[in-house]
Amino acid sequence: MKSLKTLALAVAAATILGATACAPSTSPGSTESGAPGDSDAPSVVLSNSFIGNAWRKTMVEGVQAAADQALADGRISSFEVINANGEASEQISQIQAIILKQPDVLLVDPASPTALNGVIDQAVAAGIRVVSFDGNVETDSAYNLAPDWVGIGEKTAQSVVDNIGGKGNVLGVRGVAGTTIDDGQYQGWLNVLEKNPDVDLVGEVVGDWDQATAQTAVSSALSTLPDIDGVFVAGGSYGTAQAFEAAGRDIPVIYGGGEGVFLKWWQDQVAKDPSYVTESDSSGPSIGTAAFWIGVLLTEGVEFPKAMPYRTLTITNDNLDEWVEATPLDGIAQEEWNEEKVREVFAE
Amino acid sequence: MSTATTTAPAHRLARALDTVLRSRWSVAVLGCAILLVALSAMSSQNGLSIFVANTHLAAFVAICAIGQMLVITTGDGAIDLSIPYGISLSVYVATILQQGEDARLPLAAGASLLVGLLVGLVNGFLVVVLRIPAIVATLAVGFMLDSIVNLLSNVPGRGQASSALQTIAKGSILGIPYVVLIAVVIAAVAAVFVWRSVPGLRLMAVGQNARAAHVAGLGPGGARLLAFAISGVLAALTGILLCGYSNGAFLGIGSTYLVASLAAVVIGGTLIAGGMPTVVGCLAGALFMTLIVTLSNTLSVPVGVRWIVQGGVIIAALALPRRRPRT
Repeated sequence: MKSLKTLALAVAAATILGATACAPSTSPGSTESGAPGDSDAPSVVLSNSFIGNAWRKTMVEGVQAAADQALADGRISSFEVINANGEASEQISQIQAIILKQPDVLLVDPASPTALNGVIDQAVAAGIRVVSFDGNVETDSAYNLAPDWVGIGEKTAQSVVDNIGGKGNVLGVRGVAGTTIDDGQYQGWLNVLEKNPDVDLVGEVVGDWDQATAQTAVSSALSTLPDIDGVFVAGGSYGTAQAFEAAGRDIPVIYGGGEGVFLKWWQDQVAKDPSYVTESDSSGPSIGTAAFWIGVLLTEGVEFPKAMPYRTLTITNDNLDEWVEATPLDGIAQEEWNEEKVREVFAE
Repeated sequence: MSTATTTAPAHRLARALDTVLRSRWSVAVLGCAILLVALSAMSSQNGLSIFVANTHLAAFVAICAIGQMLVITTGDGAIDLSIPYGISLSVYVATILQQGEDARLPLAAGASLLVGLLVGLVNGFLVVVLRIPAIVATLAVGFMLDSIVNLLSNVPGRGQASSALQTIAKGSILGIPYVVLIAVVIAAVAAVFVWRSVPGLRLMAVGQNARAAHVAGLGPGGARLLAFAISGVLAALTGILLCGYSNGAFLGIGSTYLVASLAAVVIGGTLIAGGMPTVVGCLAGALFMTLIVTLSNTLSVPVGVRWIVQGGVIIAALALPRRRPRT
């Protein structure tokens, strides 16, 4: 009797645990539309390493919308999104499962520039066209659509340095430590600082590309830091701005990342102080949609170079108002990508 | 005679010092003092403003840590790992229902607290009734909450915090942040609850010796369920305040509070085995954790090495020889 009860409890516990353990990879992450092989049109799978922020959500929604339209138009036969939990190991096992399904196109937003090399080579060897986007993968068997992160870091730092008049104290708000994206941007900052000895990087905090995390980290650093003239931000511009406001500090030149909330804050800040000038740069989640069209066009015989540098969207005080208008508060400013534009910009 | 009069104050001082050193919270308080002095020495800001700014950040940690402390006090491995997810859920519920309007704040706050209570009761049910180990049950509940948060983050136009809530979360009166006052009031209530009320004393008795408490007619179930319920509500309250502080809901908002709330409790001196909470220690532990983060933000430590510094300081604080507390 007692052992029966124990067994029942164990089963109940296992069910609950099983359900939650699967949660990151199936619901709400995995969505499948159409069935593979119901026509000659290609099947497409998106392997996304992480779904935990607004950028990734907007990216997945954008690809899904393009895929739905392409499905309706008969350009693809099926589309599926599989999200990982941010770990390369989980993404690798997911891609291994995808290879078994033999889709025609695999889009990858990679968790790591190196860890996925092997499994991507396997996918290519199995005849799948692999397009990696957002972050690079080092294997040259895949098509790479990724921004030049060092260049973006340099652009961020140069813009802030110019707007503070070439001298003063700056604070750095970094993204997720240890990622290629963050390391690249940081290298870009250092390159600019080397040429501007009058600019001091007086503090660095980790904001994890999250507004709330950045806000807490900046608030913490501000409690001991001297006056700050500018902030290099790799992610979390709005949180950074809020931290300065909450601390009652003068608002420095804060570099933006295209977030709707930041653009709105920036507009309000300019209304209060017309001399407030900064810039915002975002790689834009619509990069996923560009990758989608590259994948589909590859199956139709269009040729693309293996390495495609992705351009960023720059917002300045001059075009701020129209981008505030176009960007929802919880979204990110992005340029529209469609088939024609992808052909025009990237095709050989 | 003359020797007696001169030694009396010295003796009294020695006894007072002894009491402080023997108290469970002495390490955390001492640690805070050392870190504050160090930070003041390194910074151009004055010590008081460093103290106030860090106390403000620590208050958010302290509020949810008090819930964690009550759960841990009930012993038998009780722990609440759903706190960070409960916080995130509360932030989303509060933000979505508030729509930036003061008039909707009571509804939004009430709903968030209710959701928190429900989460706490579910945790309690799994642990007390189904007897699933708390470390597993609360983590599983946390994952479920995380999925719900993911779904809620798709709600379009979820808006911002009302201006009243922003004032409460960011503002201060006579230089003291409102959030700090809230944390202190909650701490005082928690102290009275634990040391003076019947349910509170029962909670400690259960944690100290569940069998003896059982013999005395005190089942562990009710006390543990109550502790989980309070923890759920306090996590929700932390979330509501964070909603005002961050002016909106962001996915990573609760993530730092798992380690912070646990470390605040443990460094504060609460016995991890249960039965012996310390509210003062909990507050000091929260401040200590915040000051460590500030220290690593202030020192020019490479970003990758910071976790080593923070982990090292925590271990050092826990490894400090403690004098045997009076029991």
